[in-house]
Order: sequence, then structure tokens, then C-alpha cells
Amino acid sequence: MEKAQFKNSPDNELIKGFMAGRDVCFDVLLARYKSKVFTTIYLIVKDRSVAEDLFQDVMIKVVRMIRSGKYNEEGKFLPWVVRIARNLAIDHFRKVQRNPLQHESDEFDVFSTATKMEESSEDRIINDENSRYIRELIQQLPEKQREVLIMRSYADLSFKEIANITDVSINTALGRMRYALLNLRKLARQPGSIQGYEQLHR
Amino acid sequence: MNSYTDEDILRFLYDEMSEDESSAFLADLCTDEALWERYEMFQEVAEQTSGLRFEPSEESIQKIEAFARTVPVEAEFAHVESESKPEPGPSFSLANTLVMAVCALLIGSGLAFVTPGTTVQPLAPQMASQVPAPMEDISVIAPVNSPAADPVVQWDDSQIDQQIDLLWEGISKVKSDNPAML
Repeated sequence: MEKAQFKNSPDNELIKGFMAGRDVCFDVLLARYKSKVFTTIYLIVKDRSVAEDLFQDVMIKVVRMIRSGKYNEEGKFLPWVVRIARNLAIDHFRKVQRNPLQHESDEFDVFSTATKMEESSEDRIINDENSRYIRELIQQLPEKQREVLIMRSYADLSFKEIANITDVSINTALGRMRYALLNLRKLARQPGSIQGYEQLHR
Repeated sequence: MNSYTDEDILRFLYDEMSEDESSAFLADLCTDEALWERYEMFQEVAEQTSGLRFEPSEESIQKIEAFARTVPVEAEFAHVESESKPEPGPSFSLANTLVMAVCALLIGSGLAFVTPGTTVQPLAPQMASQVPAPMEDISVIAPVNSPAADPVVQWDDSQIDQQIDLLWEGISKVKSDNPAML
């Protein structure tokens, strides 16, 4: 009932409310953005359990930063959260690269080109063959292109926001998106073929 | 006719052009077949990539929500009130308490009934007879023009004045913070 009261409140009001001690305001923010943030993380790390852990880490960090008054990005809550998610994902890959024995395989490598995403019964996805196929194609994109594509298509960030998060110009972000779409098209024309990967890096 | 880059097409596709740019692009799109083909190609791929959505597990959500409740509010932000809709419970009780206090004070002194949100209303003459006798230091002075219709209530006790002022300040604050409550 309480959540419903705040359903249409703007992000900034919810953040102020949470800072002042209204826990329900955070619940609403979480409900509002959980899919976008989790999808972004999942498509980057390609492993559901890792994505779940990172998602929790991201949100715990978000909670701490808001409650301690360190959040100061008025009106840009989602890009801020996605930036935290991206940084934690990068940290995760660095740790894995430093200590690969902690994992059973090297499929966590962000540069890996042909890894399969793990399926789970908990996934509420459009689980048809086409979406599975597209998802696999996205995993074959070079990291920077994939990153922009995920942030734009699944996290709904603007190119300007993506440029800020990734420390590049808007034109570079647009250029990466362009290549991402062109490469996806190329890959789609070679279904089931990993050979198309080489073409991506031209 | 403008020559558009692929990046321009993407900005249109993802609705990131200004209104003017967008109108001009749309006009050109309708007349420039080559532009249309390029647009269609990007649009087709972009459409295919949308629709993937994953949800975190309910367990993760519950853990996060539980954690959020364990992090204490910083003292310096505790006063930062959300501008969003307040929770009714405590504020309503406080408002009621204040209103009741003023009512008790005024009714007890035989002066007036209180309508929240308005100034103190003097009793109508016929009702005045039904309340206990007024306090000694309170006098009713009839206004010059229309004594019967609109009597002005006055008293000398500055302590009562102060108490009422304080209570009304409290009520005004509660009302301004919680306009929907009263």
C-alpha cells in the first residue's frame, strides 16, 4: 500500500525521502529500476549468479551512498547506478583475471566472444529462439560496442549519459553504437557462425 | 537536402534529436529513398535487440530491501523531508492532538469552537448560553456596527494568547507539511 503512494514520485523526491528515513522510497526506486540495472549487469557478465551478486553489491553501495549524503546527481539516478554497476563489473573482471583459479573456467572474461549465458528458471524473459539468438549475437560484439548497445537498448540511457559514464565523447558513443548495430547485422547474416567474429574487429 | 551521417540516423532512431532536427529529418526521410534504406536497416537491427529483459531474483530484492532498513539515517539529513506524499500515521496524530488541545482550551474557557483551517470562530450568541460561564478576565466587547451578528471575543490573559499562538503555529506547521491530512 505504501509503495503505491509513491509510485509516481520523481526519483529526486524518493531519494530525499530515503535520505530522511523513509525506507519505502528506496523500495520504490528499486522496483522502478531493478530490471534495467540487472539486465545491464547480466548482459555484461553473462552469468546469472555473478549478476545477482553484483546487483546486490551495486544496490548496497547505492543505499550507503544515498544515506550518507554522497548522492549529488540531481535527476540522474539511473545513469549513476549504471555507472556504479559498470565499475563493479570491471572490478569483478579484474579480480577474476588476477586470480583465475577461483573459477571453474575462464568464461567470465569480458572479452570472451562466444560464451553462452546461463539460463535459469527464474529468468522472466521473452524466451523464444529469436531472443536467445540475439542475446548470443550481442555476446559476440567487442566489449565497447556491446557496452554501449546494452546501456542504450536495455538501460535506456541517452548517448550523452553513456558518453559520461564511459568517459568518451557523444560522437564516440554514437560511433560505437553504429558499429554495434552494423556488426550485429553482419553476424545475423551468418547464423551459428563464430567466424563472423573476425569481421567485427575490422 | 541534408546529408545525414549514420550517427544522425541513430539519434533520430533513439529519439535524441531536438524537435526541429527531428522534423527536418522526418521530412527528408519521406523524400530521400537512400536515407530511408539506411534508416530502415538500423531500425530493423535496433528493433531486434530490444525486448530482452531480465529480473533479479526475489531473494536478491528482499536482501537489498532488508539491508536498506539497517543503514541508519545520518543525523544531518534526518530533517530533510521528502516533498513526496507523506505517510499519514504520526503526522495525523500530532495534528489531531494539537487541534484537540486548542479545542479543549477554547471550549473549556467558553470562548469558541475551533474549525481547523480557519481562524478562531466566536460562538453564536444563542450557543454562548449553553457553555460554562466565561472566565473572570475575559470580556466580550460588542463591535460598534453590528453587535449581535458578529461579536468580537477578547480577553486580557496574555498567557492564554501565547498558548493559543503556540498551538496555532504548531497546527499551521503540521498543515503546511501535510496539506492532505486536515
